[in-house]
Amino acid sequence: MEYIDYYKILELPRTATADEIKKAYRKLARKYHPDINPNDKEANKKFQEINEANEVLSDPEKRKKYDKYGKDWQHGEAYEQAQKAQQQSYDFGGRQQYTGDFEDDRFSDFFSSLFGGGGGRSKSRFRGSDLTASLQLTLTDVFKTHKRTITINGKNIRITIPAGIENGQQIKLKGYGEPGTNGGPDGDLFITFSITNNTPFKKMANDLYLTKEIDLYTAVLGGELTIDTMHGKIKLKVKPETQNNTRIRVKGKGAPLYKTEGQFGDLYVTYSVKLPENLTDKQRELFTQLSKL
Amino acid sequence: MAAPKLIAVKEFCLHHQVKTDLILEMYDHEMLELVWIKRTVYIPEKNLSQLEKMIRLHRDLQLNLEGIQTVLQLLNSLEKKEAELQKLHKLLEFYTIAE
Repeated sequence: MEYIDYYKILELPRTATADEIKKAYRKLARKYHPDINPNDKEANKKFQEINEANEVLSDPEKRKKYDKYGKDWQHGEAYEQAQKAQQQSYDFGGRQQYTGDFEDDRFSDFFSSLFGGGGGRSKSRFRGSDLTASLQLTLTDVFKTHKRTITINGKNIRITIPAGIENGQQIKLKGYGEPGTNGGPDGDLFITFSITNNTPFKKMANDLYLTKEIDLYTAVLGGELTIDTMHGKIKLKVKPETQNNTRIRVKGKGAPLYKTEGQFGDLYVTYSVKLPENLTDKQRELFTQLSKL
Repeated sequence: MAAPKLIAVKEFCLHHQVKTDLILEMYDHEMLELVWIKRTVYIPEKNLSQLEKMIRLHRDLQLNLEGIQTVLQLLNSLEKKEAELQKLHKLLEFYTIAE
């Protein structure tokens, strides 16, 4: 257990007046209040420290005790215990000091050992902090609804990942965050999905985009080609006289719609016409003939 | 359709050690929705966490109702901006890859 310098926490000299303590507390509480800094664990921790410091320094009796024992608080504790034991032997049970009906978890061990329990004032009930986690998936993974077990704070949580979940999308697991304080509810767990594209397709919303090279002859005369999609191989008919960058739509061969089982976006295929290279003499001759027609 | 769960204002105030007047004042400032059934006033359960947040801001930071409204509006607008930023990031990612 370490000594906690409450004056340092409130950024005050040891000679600070009650009014200065009040002002410093208000200033820092506004800065670090958990409601003003949602999902900021550091701010939450800082706010608890500020609260604890204020609890001691704003109460003249507690402040006196804290100032009296200062860094020797451990001896102070021993002294108090000895005094308490003495009182108990003469006082039929002694007096209970500094005990409140509040939970101790908002206060440090240092505070509890010095003052024997939580604060004596009414405290706000705080929801536990929300936790955030990131889950890496591939585009292929999110094509089907599946279950996955993740470990958060040493706890295994089995979650269902719905097909069609988007990159950057967040899901909330209620009550899986940090426990609440002073009887407040537990926080939530937010999982953000980071989806890497392991396919040749580009994805925009639920549609997939693919650029497919076709040769000049297929583009001019038309033909048939087979492409791999996320739904398996499909055959495409290329119309005669297809221009470069022509885009066709293949309905229902895109990505799954989020939480809409069996429905998919579309696949857009852009034809990129590849001109022949390293022409043979014969080819050159025929192209020349064509150009003169 | 299930009826919304309601919490009596009296009970809420007792539990949180706040005056009923404060809740009614929040209602007058249109910061809160209340339901009157006969002569009892209730808080819809869906508004509970927001109301608790407002009480904490009022109690811990000594904010008046206008101050609470300002803080909540700013937090709300921050949240919207963050969502918008995320959306734009996704668009940028698509066009960057497409290039």
